[in-house]
Amino acid sequence: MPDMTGYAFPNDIHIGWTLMVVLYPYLTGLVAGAFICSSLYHVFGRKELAPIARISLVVSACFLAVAPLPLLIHLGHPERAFNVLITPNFESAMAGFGIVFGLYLVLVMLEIYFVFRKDIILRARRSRGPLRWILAAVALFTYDISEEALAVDEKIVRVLAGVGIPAACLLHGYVGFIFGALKSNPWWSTPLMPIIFLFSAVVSGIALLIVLYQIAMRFRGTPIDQNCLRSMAGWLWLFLIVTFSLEMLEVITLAYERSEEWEVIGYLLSHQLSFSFISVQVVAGSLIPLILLMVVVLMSGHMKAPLLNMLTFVASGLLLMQVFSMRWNVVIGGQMFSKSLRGFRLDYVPEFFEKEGTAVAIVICIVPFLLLLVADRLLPLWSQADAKAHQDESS
Amino acid sequence: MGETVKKERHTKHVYRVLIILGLMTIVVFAVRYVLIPEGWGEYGNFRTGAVADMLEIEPVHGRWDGCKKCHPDQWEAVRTADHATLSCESCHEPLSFHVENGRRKTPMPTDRSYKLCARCHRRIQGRPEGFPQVKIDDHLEEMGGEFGPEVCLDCHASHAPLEGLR
Amino acid sequence: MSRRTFLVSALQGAGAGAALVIAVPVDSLLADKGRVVERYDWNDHSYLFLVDISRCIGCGMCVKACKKENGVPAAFYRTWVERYTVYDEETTHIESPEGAMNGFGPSNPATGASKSFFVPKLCNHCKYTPCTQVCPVGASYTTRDGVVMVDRKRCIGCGYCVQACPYGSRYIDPESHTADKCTWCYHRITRGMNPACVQACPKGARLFGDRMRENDPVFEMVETRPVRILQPELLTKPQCYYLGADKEVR
Repeated sequence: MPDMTGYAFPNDIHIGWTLMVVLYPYLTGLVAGAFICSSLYHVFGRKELAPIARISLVVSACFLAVAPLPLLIHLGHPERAFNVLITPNFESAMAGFGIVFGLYLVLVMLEIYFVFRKDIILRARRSRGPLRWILAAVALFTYDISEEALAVDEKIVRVLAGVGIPAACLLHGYVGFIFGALKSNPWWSTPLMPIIFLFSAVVSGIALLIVLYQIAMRFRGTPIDQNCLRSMAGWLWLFLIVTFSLEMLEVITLAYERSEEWEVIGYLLSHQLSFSFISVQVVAGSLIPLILLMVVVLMSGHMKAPLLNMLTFVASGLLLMQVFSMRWNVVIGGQMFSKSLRGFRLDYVPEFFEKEGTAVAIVICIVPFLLLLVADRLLPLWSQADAKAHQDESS
Repeated sequence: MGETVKKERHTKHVYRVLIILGLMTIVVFAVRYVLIPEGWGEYGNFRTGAVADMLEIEPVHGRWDGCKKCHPDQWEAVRTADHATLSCESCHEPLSFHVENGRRKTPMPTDRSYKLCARCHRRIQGRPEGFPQVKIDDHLEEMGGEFGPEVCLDCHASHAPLEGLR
Repeated sequence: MSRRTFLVSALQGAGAGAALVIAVPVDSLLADKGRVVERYDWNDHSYLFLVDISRCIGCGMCVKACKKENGVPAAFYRTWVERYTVYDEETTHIESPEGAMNGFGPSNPATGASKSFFVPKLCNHCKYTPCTQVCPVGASYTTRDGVVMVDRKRCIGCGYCVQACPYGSRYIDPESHTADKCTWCYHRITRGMNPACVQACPKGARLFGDRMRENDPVFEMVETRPVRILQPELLTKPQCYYLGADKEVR
């Protein structure tokens, strides 16, 4: 029996949605964010983002592949997970999961296929044995890499990336809706919720790409494209401003209205969530990166590249933490009080080794990076120049 | 015209992708169709068999007068006295503990503990004023009783608590 | 023909759109197996529940009966009883030790309280129920006679309904890993019996009614007495009414 204060309904003392349910929106957020980042290049023609256009797409796919894992682990009956597709109840936001996730998966795989089709064929041509057959099957047994065929590919990629933006918004917006549309919970119930989830998803996606890009370039000994990084820092700053404003707006409105909800939320923010919300999410996670990125964006002309790189790197790392803490504060915070609005759990710390514990969460977070390493072996992930290097190496 | 032919030649892979997507869609819908459970959606967005499942559950507690058939005397004694509104199963066990298929399965236990009486008759915060309730210590002192785990039954007969004072 | 196939054939015979008529073995506890069979038609019933707060003595017999009737796991409750102790306009102390499964103790100091009363709680079987609305797989449903239940064979155990219920009436059963809740003892009421909690209540603080029964006393009370529902602002239309509930009751 957990430590409680006040009066909670007797069924309300359990944390039903655990660390795994925190992790799921975090992972899909990275998926949506990384995808939108690649679309900035493919659809909106931000040519300076070319160095990360390919990797962002693959990052999106790697996280997408892992995203359902925490949910499956969380479910009481994971073997019945497909019931969501077999007998969906369309009154439920969660019923959309199977459909939205499935369509988005198809879309991302298609886009990856058309982006990398040429590289797959080139690789197939120089391979021998079973790998050649596998790659030939992936290339659908047509090795057409004529100018015209590649132009067709490019057109399709543009369309897919365009369709992908609303799809990414849908994938993540509906996660926010799952929380935002519950009238039983004053901490969740706000129409702002899907929008906050969406913008913070983009923040986490761009932040992850900045971190990945810098680490990868260091390992490969390739210089960092300062134009690309500066552009990413700018976009990150913009999305952070919107996200942070929305997050604060929600709390400030509740506080100012002083309605029944605030009795609970005010207590929550000053007690159970005082560290994870005020210290981590607001101060360390939002205010500091906001200042760092402002310095980067406004004073990039007066700064040496290593300093600029470091500031962006630190800000991105902090933002990855901010978005995670935001997910935590929403999901866990919303269960720290009873629906009686009179009782509170004193704290919740997941066990390290349990079904939905920290160890499992860490493993789940590592898997996408392993997938990324495998993808890096198979395909030229880093820009056109990189692709060229691959070609030269093989010829 | 010639241009169209040329274009078609270079979109072979696109058509193959589309064919695969089409096949996948058909497979998904076919599998889904096969897996829809029997009785789904007949009366709403649920499986009709789920209602049947609930109906199949055997009651644990019997009917209100379920004990009367075999114990008419006790039944009559309780119903005409101060505990008339009590269900037999509140102080004994549920009927299914005792009876199976109309036959006696296990002897019926009786909770004789003072704690059972105290659930209703100990004077605590919140009980309506008119309801008979005592502070156990005061009551024992007043009546000159010695506390024991079944002390209430020393004077009160549980089936007729005030009528059968000893 | 086994009972199972009998039930299934009864269901098929009903056909889509027609009334769901299911054969129920009545009084099976006392009768020979399957001897008395009555047909139950859910179109002939529309249930409602009434809690008369002034009558509740806080004995918790209802909670005990519910636990035994439905095998409710420890630390989870389909019904429970709360004790409100109001000291002044600002201070109200509420408690429900183990859901009042063993009744209440005299733990509160009696001094200083301006009023104190017990409030039995259970699923409100809302007409516009938020829990059924959010179930992604249609495992939560409302029957024609107005009871909200869970299909344990379809439930995936996501816990969304538990989060959506504003009254804290649902839980995930730690053994079956599916959502569970009060069913108004559907297996009893369809056999013409009262829910276990209603039968166990010695003071008639819990009353079970049927709008479609002629001169139903419970329905009449709901129609003529000053009753209220819990959290009416959420517009869930509870079918569980409270007579004499204080403003503090939520």
